[in-house]
Amino acid sequence: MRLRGLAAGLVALACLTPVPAGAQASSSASPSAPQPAGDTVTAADRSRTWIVIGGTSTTLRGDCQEGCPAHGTGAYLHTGSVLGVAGVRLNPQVDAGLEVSWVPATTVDGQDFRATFLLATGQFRPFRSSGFFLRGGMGMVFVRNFVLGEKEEVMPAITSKALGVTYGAGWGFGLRKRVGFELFGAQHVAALGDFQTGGVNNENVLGNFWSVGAALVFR
Amino acid sequence: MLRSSVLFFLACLAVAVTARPASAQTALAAPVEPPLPSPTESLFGSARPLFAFDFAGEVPEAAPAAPQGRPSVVDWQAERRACAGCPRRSVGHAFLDTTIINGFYELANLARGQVTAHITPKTWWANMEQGWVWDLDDFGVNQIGHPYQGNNYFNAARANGLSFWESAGITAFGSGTWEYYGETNHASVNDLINTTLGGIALGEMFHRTAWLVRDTHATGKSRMWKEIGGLAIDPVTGAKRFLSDDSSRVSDKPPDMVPSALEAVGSLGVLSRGTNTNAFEGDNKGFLEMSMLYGDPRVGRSRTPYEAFSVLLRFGGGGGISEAKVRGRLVGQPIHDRFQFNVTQAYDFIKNDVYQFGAQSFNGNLAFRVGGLSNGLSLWMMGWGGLTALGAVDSIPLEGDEVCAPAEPAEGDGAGQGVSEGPRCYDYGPGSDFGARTVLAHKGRPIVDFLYETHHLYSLDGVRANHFLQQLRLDLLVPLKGPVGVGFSGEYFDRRTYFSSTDNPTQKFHYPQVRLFMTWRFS
Repeated sequence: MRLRGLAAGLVALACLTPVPAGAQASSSASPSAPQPAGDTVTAADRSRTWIVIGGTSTTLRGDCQEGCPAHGTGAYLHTGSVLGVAGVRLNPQVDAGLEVSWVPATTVDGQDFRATFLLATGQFRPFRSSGFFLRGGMGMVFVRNFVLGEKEEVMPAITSKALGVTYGAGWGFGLRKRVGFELFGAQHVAALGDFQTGGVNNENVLGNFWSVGAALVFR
Repeated sequence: MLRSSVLFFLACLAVAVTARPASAQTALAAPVEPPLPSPTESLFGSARPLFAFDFAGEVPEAAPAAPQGRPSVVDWQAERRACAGCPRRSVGHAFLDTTIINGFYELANLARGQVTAHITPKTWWANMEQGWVWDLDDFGVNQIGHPYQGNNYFNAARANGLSFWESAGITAFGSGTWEYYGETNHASVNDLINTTLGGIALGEMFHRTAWLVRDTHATGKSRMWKEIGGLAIDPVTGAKRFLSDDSSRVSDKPPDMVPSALEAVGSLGVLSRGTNTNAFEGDNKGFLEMSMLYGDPRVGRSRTPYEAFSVLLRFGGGGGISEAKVRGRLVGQPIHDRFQFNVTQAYDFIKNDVYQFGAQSFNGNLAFRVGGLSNGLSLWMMGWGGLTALGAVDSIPLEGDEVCAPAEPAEGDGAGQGVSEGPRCYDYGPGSDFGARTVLAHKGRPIVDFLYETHHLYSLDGVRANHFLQQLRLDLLVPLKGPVGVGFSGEYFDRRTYFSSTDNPTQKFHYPQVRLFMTWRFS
């Protein structure tokens, strides 16, 4: 009984494996399934999976609208970041998913700065046959040590939630393969708003992150 | 921003009037033919996969041969039209027209003496170096002015034959370029969100409403006045049609611009609103309300955004435009016979003498229909919940603080006209919403309408707090004769603010309101 259950489980697992599923789809070739412009339909065309893993070189700056001091994250900081996107292909031109991006840096005051973006994201490839894409998203950011003070003293550490927005553009290579590569530029925004650090009220605070990066794309 | 919008509309009107003689001549010369049957059947007939959005403005596979004098399938396909009555598709012109709109708003601001209009490459570079900020503009500017401007970008794309989703991208492009290069002010992230999402909601609503007015089978003066009516509602598409001579071209309407059903109600009456301390104030205020139900969001499988939407506009009652609500269906899916699931985009703007609220949100709603009750009665119930991308609600002064009021700019002092120096008297943040609605109808006409909704906002830019705004509303509607009826509405608003800091006590407000009005039904 137990063996039979195990065998059934293995069979079920085999049936759910993406590659055989893709092969079945190609043999039955549903007429309603969207097909890309071109001659043959590849495994990447059939797959609905969209995964991106990569890294960026990032310049960031935290600021408020008026009278921000030029220290802490009020100065431009240069760092690296990692990002990952997991989602699905909605149609031959559009993907949607969830982006996680992690930006570590050290402030001028010597504190560790961290920003973690958790964003609902969408990608649009207007020209199906070329690799150009536009990407945008919106969600939350968790920010630690976004230091902004009016005096020179080091401000106490804070962790704050913020509204996150991102947009960018790039170029993908190996569009028709299961594993591709992309280069992109993006801007991320962490809109913190108002908060207090050490009794000082910081108003209209916002962080800008400018990035260029590269990533592997799995489909 | 509001003045610029008015100037923009007047400019479109001027463009249309300038272009009129040629168009009018063509229209008069066109042969008068009987109208073709409207192909509305194709609206719900397509069998597409769940998320197969129409990005490419696809051409229908089978189109009937056109009668003599009308453009044939070969003609309109050669002109890069998605259908006989559709505009010519041009992505390049969509970008160009969006940039022209930005140029126009810039010139309008310059003519009005706005300091923010003195742009140079230096200000462009400064804005790019700075990145995004929160801005301090008035509530009306940010919550209705910017969405209206976004509607112009959106319709610059729609007027050039782009699909809904493509036009959404163009709206973001228009907003981003305006923020960086259209003003000396730093680019504002709240403007980007409000202009883009609000522009999409208002844009598609105005675009479809304007198509209700146009009659593409008509010719002569009647055609011209209808085109001008369309231009008044959607200036960008209207002006584009006059300039391209589509305003006099005889063809069928674009099939997806013909709603499956249409219903509008106008209400005129008085309202009395209370305050936190008084049940009702002595002074009653007049109001005019227009509501429209385009298509039928209660039924049908749909993958065409906004082929069903509702809109409510209220003028007077404590503000110029005191309320604007748009709910556009993005995706609709029937479940069994009586249930309907929709994904909806929402735009909210409320501004009266006791509170103000605005939001851009998305929600999912599940509706249930009970037909065939006794005496022609039917019942429809709906519940929803969703996320607010960005909402605005007026600030509550903390203990010891004065009531917030924007500073009056001093003569010869300050940053100059058009530069908002604050304080901004409302807070921004994301949030959620949920609610329920029940409508009891008699022979298809609502007689009892009950609504409960809650908007939650977590204010980020402002004092950190969770705001809960609840509304209860009960409408009793009595048909009198023909389209005329009377109505009574009782409403109750409740606001609770829970501050993140325990130093600030929870604040509670409530505002009762009653309305008495005459209704006129158009259907």
